[in-house]
Amino acid sequence: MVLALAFAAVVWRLVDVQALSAARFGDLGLEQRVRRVTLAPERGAVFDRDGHELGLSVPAQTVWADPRAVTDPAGHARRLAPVLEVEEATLLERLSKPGAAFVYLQRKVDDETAARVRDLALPGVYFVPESKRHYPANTLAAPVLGLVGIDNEGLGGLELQYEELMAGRPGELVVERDPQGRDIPSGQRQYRPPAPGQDLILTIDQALQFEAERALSRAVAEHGARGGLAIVMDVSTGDVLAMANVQAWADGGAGPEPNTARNRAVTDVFEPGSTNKVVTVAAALEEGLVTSETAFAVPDRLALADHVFTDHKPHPTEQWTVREILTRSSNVGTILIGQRVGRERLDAYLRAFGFGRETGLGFPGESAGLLLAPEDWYPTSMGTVPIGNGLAVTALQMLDVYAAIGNDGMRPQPRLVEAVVDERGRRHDLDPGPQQRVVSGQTARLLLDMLRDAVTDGTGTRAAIPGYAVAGKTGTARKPLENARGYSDRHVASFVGLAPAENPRLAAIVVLDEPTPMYGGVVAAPVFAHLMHRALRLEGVPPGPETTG
Amino acid sequence: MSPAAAVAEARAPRARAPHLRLVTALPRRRVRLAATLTVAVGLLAVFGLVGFHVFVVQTQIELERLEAEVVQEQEQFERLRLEVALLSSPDRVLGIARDELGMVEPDRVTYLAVRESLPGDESKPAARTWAEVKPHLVARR
Repeated sequence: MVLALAFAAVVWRLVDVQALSAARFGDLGLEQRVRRVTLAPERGAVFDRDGHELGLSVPAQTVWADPRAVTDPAGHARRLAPVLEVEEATLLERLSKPGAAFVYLQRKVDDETAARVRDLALPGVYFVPESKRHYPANTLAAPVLGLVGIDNEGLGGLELQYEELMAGRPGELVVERDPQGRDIPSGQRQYRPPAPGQDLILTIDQALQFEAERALSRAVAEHGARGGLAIVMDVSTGDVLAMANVQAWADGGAGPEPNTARNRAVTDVFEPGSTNKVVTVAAALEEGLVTSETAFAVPDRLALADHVFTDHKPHPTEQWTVREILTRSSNVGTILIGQRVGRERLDAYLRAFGFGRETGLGFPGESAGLLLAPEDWYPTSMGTVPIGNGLAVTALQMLDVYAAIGNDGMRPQPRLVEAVVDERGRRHDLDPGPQQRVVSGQTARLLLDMLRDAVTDGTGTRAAIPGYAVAGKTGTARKPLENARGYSDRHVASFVGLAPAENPRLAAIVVLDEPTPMYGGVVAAPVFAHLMHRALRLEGVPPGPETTG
Repeated sequence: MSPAAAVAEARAPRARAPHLRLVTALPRRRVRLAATLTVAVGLLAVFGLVGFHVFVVQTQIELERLEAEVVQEQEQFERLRLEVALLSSPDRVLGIARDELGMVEPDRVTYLAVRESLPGDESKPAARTWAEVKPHLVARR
């Protein structure tokens, strides 16, 4: 009887396992054997316009541990600390973590470190492959490129702006594995490969970018400035060939900013000062209110509301043409021209030239600048705004003004990326952004001619380049007080220009923050000349036939 | 049994004997041959199945080994790519030019004006495709 019952129980269990609950046990078994492994995609690389790698991801090993399998946490920590360069106490805490089956010891170590850890042959310590981001040119264009986090997600700069393109799509491997983790050869196997991220090809020229950072660093150090910016742009396409951000160091030197810094060329604003006078003159010319030879009686001081505006050099009242007012960078003369334009029209031209809104570059953190609506202007605004005070712009916005003048009155949309390369290695060129007519070609050519005089006869003589005709404008603007109305005795010095003046190909801006001396024509113009000369040679623009360098 | 009972039993109608048919016995040789063949085929099938399974497993192992090798080579390619980029960084090149080769930047640049046109002046250089700039990356993808 007992035997019969036992036999019946066995039979019942057999029927249950094989028939009634077969599906459930089958699924359970499969669940224990089947592993889904997420395959991380390769992040897209960043190249300059000639294909030099500026940012790329390379395989690395991440060291991890299973605390349950670690027999001697203190011993492991003591041996690993000098190799991984992590505090022994930190490692001990991780290796002793109760209930944990997975703890990171060090993410993304190099091959040499991984080999040294392997040689230690510590039980419970394992490796998992990951990829690590590298920037081979170090700090070159670092604030422009941006940075990624520990999990390769874009955190700033172009890495953030193009995160969706560059991240790629993860793949998946579904495989049956035995308890030792080995693949079961005849088992289930499904493989969906990861889709690599797309590569970016920038408009940046690595050689010119390097030269811009070098020249700017020298000027910042030489003139004791706090920092500097420089941008070079192709006026017909808006391609940014170089965008340099430089900071002063505590030891008196200077160098490029790291990738954790803001891209000040597009995020920070400053009062442009005299470089903005070209907008006032452009408005007057375009509206037919003046010609380049229209004369004004220009004193050296002018009272407006509760303020007296002065020229930078005392002089008797002179009959100066519009051309001379711009060439001499006369504040009073420009205010008189501005008064003829009027508040509403001046505001319209400032906005048409791109002030008060982002350039369309799409860069993270880009500033639209500061431009009050005309109804909010102060009584002194008709004195400040025409000469570039009372408004704030980014270096890129100001450069775009001059690019418009050099591009026959059409304002180009700046861009940093000229193409992407898809996962199959095919290049896809991106169309330049739309251009906007700001002034007529005739007005633009007239302005170019006057700006050329500003370099040959005016305040911008140090921007001259042997063999090339240059058109441009100096700027020396007082910095506003930080927590009060009014201006400090510190200055921003700048120079914006175009070359070759007879048919501009390139525009460039150089800005120095609090240099000594403070004049744009003295400190910024020479940097412009050096940088523009290099840029013209790189672009293969021949000099004029009558001179040699 | 009494004589009378025996007589009675003898006289009682007997049950009909089942119809029996004489069956000729198969030759022993044929039976043995059939059995041997069956076993042989069975064994062949089993061994064949095992052999096929071994082949599949070996091929799978080889495939995984090759896949791992491909991954390894690709990773090595990426590392070398980084090394090339590091070696050609402008900072490094400038340092070598200045500090090791003693090169200096010129004070001035002299341009030579070529008055006569040269062969090829009229033709524009073809735009460089990505495949020309980075052929190894195109192939890799």
